[in-house]
Formats: sequence, C-alpha cells, structure tokens
Amino acid sequence: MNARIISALVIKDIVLIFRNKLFLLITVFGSIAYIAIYFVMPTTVDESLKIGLYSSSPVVPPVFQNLIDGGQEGVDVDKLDSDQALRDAVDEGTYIAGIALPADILTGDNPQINLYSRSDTPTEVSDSLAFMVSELAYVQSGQLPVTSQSVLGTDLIGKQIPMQDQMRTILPSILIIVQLFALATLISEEFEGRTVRAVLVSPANIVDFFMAKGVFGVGMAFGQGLIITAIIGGLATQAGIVILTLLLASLVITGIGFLCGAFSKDNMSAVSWSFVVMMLLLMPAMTALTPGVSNWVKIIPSYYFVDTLHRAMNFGMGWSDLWPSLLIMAAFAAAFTSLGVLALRKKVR
Amino acid sequence: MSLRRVGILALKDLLYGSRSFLIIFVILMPLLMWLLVEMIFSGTSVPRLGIADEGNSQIPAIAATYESIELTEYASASALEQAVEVGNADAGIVIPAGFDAAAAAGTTNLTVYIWGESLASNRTILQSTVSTMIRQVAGQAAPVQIETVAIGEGESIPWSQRLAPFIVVMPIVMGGIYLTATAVVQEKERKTLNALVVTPASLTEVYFAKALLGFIFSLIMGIAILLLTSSLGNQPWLLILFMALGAVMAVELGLIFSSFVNNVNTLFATARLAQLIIFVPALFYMFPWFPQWVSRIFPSHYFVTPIMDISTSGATWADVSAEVFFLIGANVAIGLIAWQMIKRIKQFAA
Amino acid sequence: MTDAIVAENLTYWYGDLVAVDHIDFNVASGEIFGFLGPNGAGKSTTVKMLTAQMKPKDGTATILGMDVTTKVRQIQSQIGVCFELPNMYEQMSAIENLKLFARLFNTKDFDGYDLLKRVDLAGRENERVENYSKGMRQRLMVARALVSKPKILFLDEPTSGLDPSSADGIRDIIRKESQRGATVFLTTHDMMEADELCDRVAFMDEGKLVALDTPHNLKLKYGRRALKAQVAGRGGELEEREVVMDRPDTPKAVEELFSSENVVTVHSEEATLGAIFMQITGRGLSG
Repeated sequence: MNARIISALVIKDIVLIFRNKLFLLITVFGSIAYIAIYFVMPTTVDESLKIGLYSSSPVVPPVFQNLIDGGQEGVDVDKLDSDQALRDAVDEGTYIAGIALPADILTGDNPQINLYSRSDTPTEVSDSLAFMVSELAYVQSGQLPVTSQSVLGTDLIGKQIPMQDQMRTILPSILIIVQLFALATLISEEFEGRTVRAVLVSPANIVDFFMAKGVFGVGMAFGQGLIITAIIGGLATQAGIVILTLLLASLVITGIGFLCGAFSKDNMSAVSWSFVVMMLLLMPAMTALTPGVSNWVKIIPSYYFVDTLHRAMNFGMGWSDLWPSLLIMAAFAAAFTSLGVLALRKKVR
Repeated sequence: MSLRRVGILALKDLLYGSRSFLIIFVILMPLLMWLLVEMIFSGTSVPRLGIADEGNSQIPAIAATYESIELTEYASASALEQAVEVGNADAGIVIPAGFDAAAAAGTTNLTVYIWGESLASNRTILQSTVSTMIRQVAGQAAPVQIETVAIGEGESIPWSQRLAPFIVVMPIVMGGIYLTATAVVQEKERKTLNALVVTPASLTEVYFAKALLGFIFSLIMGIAILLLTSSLGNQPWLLILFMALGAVMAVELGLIFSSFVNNVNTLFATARLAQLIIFVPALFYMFPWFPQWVSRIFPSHYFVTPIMDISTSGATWADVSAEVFFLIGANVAIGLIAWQMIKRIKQFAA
Repeated sequence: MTDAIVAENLTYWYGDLVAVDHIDFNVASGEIFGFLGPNGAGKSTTVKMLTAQMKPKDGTATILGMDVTTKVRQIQSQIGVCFELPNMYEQMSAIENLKLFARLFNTKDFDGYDLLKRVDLAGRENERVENYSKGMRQRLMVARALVSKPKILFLDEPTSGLDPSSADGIRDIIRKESQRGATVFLTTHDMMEADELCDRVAFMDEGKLVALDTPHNLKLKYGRRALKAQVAGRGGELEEREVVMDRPDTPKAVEELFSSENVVTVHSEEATLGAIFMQITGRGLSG
C-alpha cells in the first residue's frame, strides 16, 4: 500500500467526478436544495385541533365553555358570534370543524348539534370529531368519564419535534446515500474504459486501487454529509455520535457502491442499478420518522443512519443508549465493504 | 419508411439494448415509487389504536367498523404496551375479562395507553373514540344527536391519491424520455449509429424504432400503474388514449434531447429538464391550492389532468375532448421540432 | 549481459483451450523484439503474463531477472505498456493523463509537454482525450508508455490507425528508445514495420512459437530470392518473367533472359515476413 499512489488515484477520481455533469447536478444542486428545504420546514408543531364554536343558547354548557377556556388538551376552540360566521370560517379553512350548539342544548330532550366541516375533509376526521363532541355531551349530561390516560414512553406533549428538526436527520442521510451513484459509476467507467488495466500495470497494485476508491467514496460521502449536518445545526447535540454515525453510513454506502460498480457490466447498468439501490436505501430514510414503520424496513441499513441521528440529535441520547445501533451500523459497514472489495477483486481478475 | 426495418431495429434495441436500464428505470422504478408512496402515506392518515382483548368484548368488533382509526389487535397486554411505547400504535387499550358487563353496570374506567410522541389532538381523538365505544357497549343512550354538515364543494382526496398523477406520469417519463433518449445516445457513444445508416435503414427508421420502443413501454407501464393504483375507472379506453398521447409527447422530447447530447451522463443531467416539463402539472394537481393557471402553460397538463379526472372523478369524453385535440396538435408541433433536430444531425461520432 | 526477458516453458490455458503452449524465448537487453502472429495466436496472453497482469499456469518468466509471479510491483515500475485498445481517462486532458501516471511511477524530472511534443501532440496538451481522434489517442498511448522512462517497453500495435507520417514518428521513437538502452517488445501485424525495426522476430501460431530469428536469417532460411523482369512481347504488351536466384543454373538463366528477350524492367525480390509466415504455418497473419 503506497500513500503516494493512493493519493494520486484519489485526486484523479475527484477530478473525474467533478467533471461528471450528472454527479454535479445531483450533488451540488441537491445540496443547495436540501439546505433550502431545511430552512423552509416548519419550526413548530401545532398539536391542537382548531375548532370554532357557536352557541344559539345564551348560556354555553360548562363542558363546552371549558373547551373555549382552553381546558382540553389538544383542542383549541374559539367562540364565534353567529352560525354564518362559523360556517364561513370553516369554509375558509380557519377551523378544521365548527360546532354549532342549538338553543335547547341545556334543556332539550336529545338536542341536535351541527358539526360543520369542509367537504374535502376526510370522513375519518369528521367522524373522530363527532366522537369527541359526543363524549363531551355525555359528560355534560352527567355521565362519568369511562376512560383515563396513561402515557407510555417519553411524553413529548408541548415538546414535539418539529419537521425542521426531523429533516436534520433525514437530509444528511439522503445526501450520503446519493453518493452511491458517484462511486458506482466511477468504478464502472474504469472497467468500461479499460483504465483499470492501465493503472494495474503501473506500480499501483490492486490494494492501492481499492484503497483509493474507498478513501474517495468515504471521503466524498462523509465530507458532504458532515458539511450539510454542520450547516443545518446537526452537530449541536452529541456531536461525537453524529460524526461517527455519518462515518459509518459513509462506509456502508461505499461498500454498496463497490458492489454496484462490480456487478454492473457497463456505465448504463451502473447508473441503473445504483438508482434502484438508492431508492431502496431511501425508503427507510423517508419512513424512519413515520410512526409505525414496518419491521422489515429495519433490515435496510439506512434505517439505522436516520434512527441513530434522530435519537442523538433530537433526544440527546448518548453512547449507552445508542451503542447497539452503532454496532449494527459497524457490522453493516464491515459486511458491505468486505463484500464490495471481494466483488471488485473478482472483477479485476 | 419500411415498417419491416423499423421492426427489426426495435427488436434489436429490445433484445440487445441496455437490458438493465430497461428493467430498472422503465419497469422497476415506477413500481418502486408506487411502493414508496404506499409505504409513506398508507395508514398514517388516521390515528392507530391497538387492542388487547383478554375477555370476549364487543369492543374490537365495534372498533373494526370505524374508519376514523386504524385498528390492530394484540395477543397480550405486554405486547400492546410495548407497541404503544415504541410508537407502533398511537394508543392502546387492554380490555379485561368481563369488561362489557362491568361497563353496562357503569362500574368501569378503562386506561387508554398513549404513545408519548403522539400529538395532543390525536390523544383527545383516540380517547373520545374509545369512550364512545365503551358507552355503546354499556348501552348508554346518546344525550345528543350529531349532524355532520359538509360545507363547500371540494372532495376529500387522500394523499396516496394526490400522488397518483406523479406515479402515473413516471412510466411515461421513464419509458418515453429516458428509454428513447438513451437508446439513441448509446448508439452514438458506441459509434454503431454510423454502422446503421450505411445500411438500407435510414436515420428516420432508426429513430422511429427507438421511439416505438419507448412508446410501447411507457404505455404498458402506465397502464400497469393505473391497474395497481386501481385507477382505471369506468373509461379505460379514454384513459389509454391520453396515456398514449402523453407517451408520444415524452418520446418526442426524448428524441429532441438525444439529438443534443453525445454521452449518457450528460443525457441524464439534461433530461431532467424534460422531466420537469412533464412533472410540473402533476405537482400542481397534488396541491390544488397552487395557482392552476401555471400548470396550463405546460403541454403535459393536457394529459396529466384528464388522466386524473377520468380515473378519480369519472370524467367522460365530453369533459376532456378539447384536451384530446389540443394534445394531438401539441404532439404534431413537438414532433416537427424533433424531426428538424434529427434532420440536422450530420455528425454521428460522439 | 542479463537478458531483459526470459520465458521458459511458459504456458497458459483458458479451460480446455491452451492459449500459450510451453513457449521458450529470450529477449536481450536493448533489443527490439517483434512478436508476430494472427489474432488468437496467444500473443496478448503472452504479453499479459510478461507484464504480470496474469500468472502463468505453468513455466516461468522473468523480467530483468525478476520472477513475474513474485516481483510484480518491482517489475511494473520498470516497464511501460502501450495497449492495443485505447484506455485513457477520457474526461481528463492529455497532460493530466500523463501527469497521473508520472505520479504513479514517481517519475523524477517528468516533462509531459516534451513527451507530448515527441509524439506530435504539442498544442493539444490541455484538450480532453474524449475530443481526440483515433490517431491522437494512439500517440498518447505511446507517450504514456514512455512516462517512466522504462527499461522495457511493451508496445501492442503502436502504429495502428496512424497516418504514414505519424507512424514514422513512432518508429523513430522506438529506435531512439532502443538506442537509449530500453528493450522493446513489439507486437504488430505490420510486416514491413517488423522487418524494418526488429532485431529479431518471433512467430506465434496457435499458442506455439513456430520461428524465432532475425528477419534476415528467416528470409535466408525460408525465403526465396528471385529476379523479376518485364519483357516486351510480340505485340508490344509487357509480360512477366522470373529467374530464381541462388541456384546453380541461375547465371545461365539470367544470360538467356537478357539475350533472348527484350527486357524492359528488372528488379530483385526478397521474401517478406508475411510470405515466410504463410510458408511456415500454412496461413496468413490475418488469421
């Protein structure tokens, strides 16, 4: 292994990749787009349902008054002066629904409450709101509540993670995954153009060749991931874990890039296969922060990139909590890098 | 033009072209996109309730009829609690044995386990929903009637449906633009285009063969995606007509782009511009509150929007006939441009 | 002086096909050695073994006294290889390609511009290779092989695709390299080039070495010298006449030709290496 030779090959790869128009488009414009996306994402989470209320009865029933006074968590109720004003407000989208209490709400026998919602509101939303109003009516009529709450896991009421913070974990992962394309096409171009043979009859040997590709792949992925993460404030919490996660992610992607390059018979198939592998890797990245992600997603390595970053950045979890995930990532990195090197070695021979 | 030679060339491209590109970009990619959309958007629009029934309560059966929740039953209380704790359910209830009788007697208060990361609004909704089910089991008469009144004329469109045009347009883009364009550019890169045009096959026939291949694949995959998304509707032939016209447009754009570029990397970079032309109307369809007049500037609006109107709103020939004629005219115009570009190619070497 | 290249019982097979069948030869230091044979004869496989790209299945080969199986890096730092098919980094310029390989070889005092001037690419140094013509790429390949001032040059069809003037330029470089002391292992189909340049040539056919000697000796051994004359016929048309040389009756035949015929033109004809190859193997060099 010769450092001078490896550095010459790495520099060559950097020159070549930056002359690849598609790579420039994906990486440079992609990076700009990611940063722009980050900064336009909402920084707060609105946990409440905004509802309007109008009461034809001069006295608003206490349970509903309690809503107006903010006594019910998750519901934000405004009192309006007329039924028409309520309907208009719902139609404009100011409120997700409007509750119109009849004049006989307190005295009538089975009074009718109108629940207004826009026609494009999903049925399940209006049904849910109907249940809520119904339950309020039960309590209003003197029935005791039949349920109570118990929170499991960390209670994030009032501390929900806004979309911008969630993006902070997704965007670097996506940027690293996309580097797969660069490495796969670089490798396939070396074989298609037969330049690998030219290099291997020089003092550069196969180890130098692989090391150079590995250094390039990891360097590009990690470097870009780190820069983006730093720009969007991702190093503010548990920086050590974040950096290690980015590094391990880069190693995994480099190994997968080796595999794609080794199994592609030409540049076109390298582009094709790396796109489909990227799509597969992006699935967990897109869905990792969606509640109820299917377990099968957890066998895809990129799930751990996002999940680890999320738990480190947004929950401040430390080494004692995250070492299993880091270990899994390290295992993936070792596995894919080894497989990638073996596949490439076989192709060179 | 000899159709026999066109057929020979198209078959050659099919059998000996970049098979992996064909399979991956034209066939797999749209399917993967559809799968991704399904994964992200299915089941996340409603709160998720888990139930572990230790007796033989009516509550699970009642919950199964509610569209406002996504129900999952768990075998044990511990499984349920674990599911809630990790967020596989927004809330969960463990129904002890004999619960229904106790509820009828008015002597029960059920704990609703809430996932810590769930929104306050979801918690309220779920707790209310559970309370409603319990009261139903307990036979408690509702003290009020609730009349749901829909305001306005819009329709509720779930996100998976909003994204349908994006998914439907993808095979048109992949097959029409990319497949056609890469077939041409690869011939240029490998200099085989030179070899072809010194045979009786003319340049027109060569390009037409590639266009034909792109058209066929984009149409087949477009129809496949419509079937997968159950969007074929009541007017399948009308849909297919628009898909075909859209595919023709995409193929023509692919030919235009391929006449400018000489290698695959540059093609992929620049063809994204063509993609934008096709995809922008799909984007505007996803977000109806965007100013729709912008979408009308793009010629692809005239097949994307009718396709969605036919498949989701049951639009008929009378509703979309104007778009058909506009599309035919647009395709003729773009086709003429493509033809001029092909005629101006004098140098085949990359 | 130690031979630059020594092959003993060198063998390689691909499955059932024996591509190189137990061949033996030596190449002296400073020699220009021609390696001729039709396509599929085993030339490329032999070259790959000698340049340590492949390990022999049997036999041995040494380059500058070093075993090709154990001293790969040492050997590759002393050789320069010009491949038959262009394999440059197309997105890089000519000078960038050369500088890369100079770095790989750690060549001291490397002057890429001078090297490009030698192969007649002066003024085109900073253009990307993707914009080069076939001939320019070929010349750049030769230049790259010279980057490390190698002790042994392996050149596979170095003048292929070149116009006569450029081809002459490359042959001139080959001679100068040989004068510098480099050993040149030249694979070519061009018989005239081999005849003109090579100190010795080897013929390879179906994996075997069928002849190895100087071009002159091969011609002497296998060739047939003749005197070719054109004589005026009765009607004034030209007819061909031939007198085979080196025979006992040659002087008498020559005298008879000149005395009995109206000789218009006369020239001597030597055997060509191509004809000799055909004579030895029963087929042409085009395979």
